[in-house]
Amino acid sequence: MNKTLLKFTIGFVAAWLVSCQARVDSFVEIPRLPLIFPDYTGITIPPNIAPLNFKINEPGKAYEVRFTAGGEKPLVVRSGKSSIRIDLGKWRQMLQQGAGSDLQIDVFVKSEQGEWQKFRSIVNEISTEKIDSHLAYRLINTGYVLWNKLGIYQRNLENFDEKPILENKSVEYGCMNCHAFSRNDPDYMMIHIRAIHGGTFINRKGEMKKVDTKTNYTVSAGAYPSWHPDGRHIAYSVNNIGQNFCTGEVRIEVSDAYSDLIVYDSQEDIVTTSPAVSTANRENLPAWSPDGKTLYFTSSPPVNGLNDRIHERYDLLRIGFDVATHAWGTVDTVLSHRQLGKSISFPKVSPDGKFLMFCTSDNGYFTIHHPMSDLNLLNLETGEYRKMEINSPHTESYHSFSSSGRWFVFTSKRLDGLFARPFFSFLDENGNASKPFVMPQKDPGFYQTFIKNYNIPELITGEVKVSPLAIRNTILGPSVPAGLAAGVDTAYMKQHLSMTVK
Amino acid sequence: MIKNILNLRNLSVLVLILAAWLITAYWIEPFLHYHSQQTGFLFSRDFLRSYTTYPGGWADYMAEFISQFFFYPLSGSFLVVAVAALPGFLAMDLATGTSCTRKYGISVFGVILLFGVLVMTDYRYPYYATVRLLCAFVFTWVFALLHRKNPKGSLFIWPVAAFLLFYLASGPALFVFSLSTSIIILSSRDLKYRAAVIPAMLLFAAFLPFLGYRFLYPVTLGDVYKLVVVRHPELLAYTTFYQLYIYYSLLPVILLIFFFVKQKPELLPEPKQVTGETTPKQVKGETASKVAIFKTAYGVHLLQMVILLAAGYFLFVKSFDPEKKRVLQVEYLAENGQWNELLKAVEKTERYDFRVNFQVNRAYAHLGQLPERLFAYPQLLGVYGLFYDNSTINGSLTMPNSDLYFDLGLMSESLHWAYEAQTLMPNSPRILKRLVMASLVNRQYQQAEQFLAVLDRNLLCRDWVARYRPYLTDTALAAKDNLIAEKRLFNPTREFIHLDPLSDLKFLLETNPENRFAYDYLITHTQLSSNFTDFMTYLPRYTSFGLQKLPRSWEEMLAVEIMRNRSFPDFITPETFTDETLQRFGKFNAILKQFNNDVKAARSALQKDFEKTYWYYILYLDPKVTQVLKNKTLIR
Repeated sequence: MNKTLLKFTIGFVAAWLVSCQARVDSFVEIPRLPLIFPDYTGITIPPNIAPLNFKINEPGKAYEVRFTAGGEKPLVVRSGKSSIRIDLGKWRQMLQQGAGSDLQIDVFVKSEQGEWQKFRSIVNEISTEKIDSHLAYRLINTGYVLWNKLGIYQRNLENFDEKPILENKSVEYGCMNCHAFSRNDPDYMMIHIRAIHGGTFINRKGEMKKVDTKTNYTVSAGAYPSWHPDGRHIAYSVNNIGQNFCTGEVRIEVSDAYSDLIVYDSQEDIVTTSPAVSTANRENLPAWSPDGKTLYFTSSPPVNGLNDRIHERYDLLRIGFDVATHAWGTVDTVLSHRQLGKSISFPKVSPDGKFLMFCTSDNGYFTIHHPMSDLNLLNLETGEYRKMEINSPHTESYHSFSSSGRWFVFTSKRLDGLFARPFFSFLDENGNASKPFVMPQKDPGFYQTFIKNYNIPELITGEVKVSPLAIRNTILGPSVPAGLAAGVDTAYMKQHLSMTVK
Repeated sequence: MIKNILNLRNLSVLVLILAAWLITAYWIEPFLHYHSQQTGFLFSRDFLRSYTTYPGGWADYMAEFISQFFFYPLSGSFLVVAVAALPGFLAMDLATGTSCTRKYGISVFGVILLFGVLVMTDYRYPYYATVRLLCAFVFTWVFALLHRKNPKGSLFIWPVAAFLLFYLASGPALFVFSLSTSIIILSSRDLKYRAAVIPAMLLFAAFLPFLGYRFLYPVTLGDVYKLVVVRHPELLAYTTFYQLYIYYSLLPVILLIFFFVKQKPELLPEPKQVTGETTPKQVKGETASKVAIFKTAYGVHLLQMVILLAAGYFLFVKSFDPEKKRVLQVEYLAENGQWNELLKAVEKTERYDFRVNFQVNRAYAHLGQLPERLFAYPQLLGVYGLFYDNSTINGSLTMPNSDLYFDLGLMSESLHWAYEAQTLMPNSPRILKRLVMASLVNRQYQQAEQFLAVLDRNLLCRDWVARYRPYLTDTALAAKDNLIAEKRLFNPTREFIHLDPLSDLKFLLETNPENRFAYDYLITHTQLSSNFTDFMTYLPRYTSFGLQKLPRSWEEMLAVEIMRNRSFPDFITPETFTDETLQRFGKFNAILKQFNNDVKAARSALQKDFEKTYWYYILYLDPKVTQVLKNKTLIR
């Protein structure tokens, strides 16, 4: 007991001495940037982001870091350890005052010989554009077939609070995935539940229900979603999904035997589709344009055998849709895989309608397992497209825009090649993206011991307010069966199904 | 005399504890719980936090902490007994308080200890159920203390204690507490409002979990009311058996019995002073009946011990299934690569088990005996005794699958199954170690580092981490490691889609024709599936392994092929294939002919000399013949 007390006292005094030591005045300049983890060098950050705590991977016995922004007095953090944890209040104040200017980070390390070293200053930029305050994501282990504990969480990006939106322990460990929001609005949310208590949970401003979107004329219940900006309609792909395990760069291939598109009206609980998006081809991954008049999607030829199924590539297409009349337009090819030499997946249109961001990989559409998956940007006004400058040698996959369109988040495995982490980047009006940075954590070493994946990160403008209890109660309740909208060509769909589903 | 009884009682308690320890250490062996449940306790804030968000989480956290020490055979057994004995001591004290007699204390202690040990006879038993119950005992005991000192005041503390206990140890522990404390209050002579208070308490306890479920905790109703929760997908599917129900009902039942005993003073021949809190005057008062009481008390005590030991023996024999333990022992020995010991352990098994079948084949292959001894163990599942049937896969089979693919040198599949396993048991040291090793083989040092960092938070794995961490910075160390070096030689890098085990084995041999383990598995696969085409295609490669003579089971299959074609294949020499095999096959056929080729009728005659041959397998054991895979009765 006494020993513990003594240790505590010594620790406290040591920490106090470190924090109260005099400012470093004499030092040796090291003409390179310090090694820090995560890499927060040369980045642009939102003025409302949580403190960028980091570890200094330089040997030393004491550390000092000075953050200077907007010509204000520097924020100084001293530590006897290499972990730098920044006070939230002071950090916020500094970012607010420094918005639109550079954030200079000076790292000083006291060597074992007692000499202070100053590394070249890290210069970041504080944007004036705020990022949406919350990020919703699913946390999952790396298993592919089995699952156990998993959940969908929301993280306040302005601090370090993480709360569950729904954990599967509350719904008898069913599987859950594909959460989606309408226009980044946390009041419009959907979550798919699989296996036990299956169905699609839908929340529209506190009105909650569970829906079964499978009909007798569609191949499955809704899978990959996209909310219409009206907050009422949701486009889904309906897929027959399978997985194959591989040796080589890609460890697992997720592919579809067949797939179509549907649009679900969450007010009337009806599903509509059209022969134009229910062809023998594999229509997939719908994404609405911000005006809600056009539905972008990907499409790949029908398959003959496993090799085709895995190795075929997807094109980017679009079709008009009128939510008032459920009238479908004609299909138009936006970008062909032949132009790119790559397969296209996860199209997302920026809120201003100017850009369309998408993933490319060598084949298929399930890019998270493809190390060569990259993010690309298509200028919808000019038709120009390019591979984005933010890519790494590892997987870059699922992405979503902030409500302003100036920020976007995407998952990347660049930290270790295995685990997907959320990275943020600033996108200017010309489509130039800043160097991405990983979501800050209170513990700078967090990502080095966290062995779950961040899946489907979605930026939202506030906290999801419906409680996990309310969501659970809805999911444990009965499903509302979706009907088929009048006007769907049932004769065609019946024939289509009989030819497709073998 | 009282001193004698007390000494006798203490001695008896000691005897019971030692007996329980002996049984736990030598029969139950809790390290097998550790092995099968893969306890992975981490010293980290996140790990703790994950246990604080649901009722019972704190008790679960404590259980995880304690059960990691089951890893050590003797001290783990002692821990099991110590934790099982603690409620016994508390119950003895509570029973004394309720009935004012210590006469039956040893029975109370013994029964609770007995069930504390009995529940451990099921290796899937979730240890948190014991710790949750222990919480209920502790809360009840503390309440009883308070109640003795301040009966009315304790009633105000009760709801707070009930809520706290519900949060710490979930609903069933709360029910034990509320029933037990109700009886304690009922036995109190000072309280006037018992009739009103007790129903209110019981109602509160019945509804509190529901209210917690409804308004506080995002869990299911079953989570707050059930003794154990079986998760989906079922991994360690523990079925709540009568032992656990009895274990949970012991305290209230004991207190109730003592309450009734107290109401009938004729059942308590002892004077009050036997409780131990005697005064010199009281001791003097009993001198008159000294001999009689001594005899009675001693006799009663002895009788209790005899009944306890007899009941203990009977219940233990009824509860403990040595065969299930042997299966776990086999898996444990396989995990540790003790192949000879594994085969010795298998000799003691009495029933066929598909998991044993799988591990026996691995053991044979590791010892280079697979082709020679393949049919020494009945291959009732055919190729599914080599590779588990993925259509029936469950969580318990994921790690053995990963182990086998690691043996074979196919890291992508070893990792695939290890990740599946890790999804179910995220912090299991065994799984994390596999992920480290497979990552090192794949030269994925960053990934290995990630898993090593997690393992480093496990108290029991620090030495292992210290051994492998230098491999991350000095990659030459990994290259010098024999195991890693060998797996790197065998591990394919070409792109390949895994469709079935046979194509995987062919792929492995294509990558490295010197992969003997893969070769033996491939030939065995063709044997067990009677795939003569591939058998004859790959058998000629035996020369590259320096074999002077074909192993027994290969000869037997080849004999069938020779008889079918009436000719010897080119790759056979008189040295590699002996006439003796053909003669044995001739004898086999002759016996069959004696029964006019009636396979059924010839079975017992053939069994005598040919049970462990390929020929017997194809006629009687092949799943295509037995149809066992249709109802999957052998795969449980």
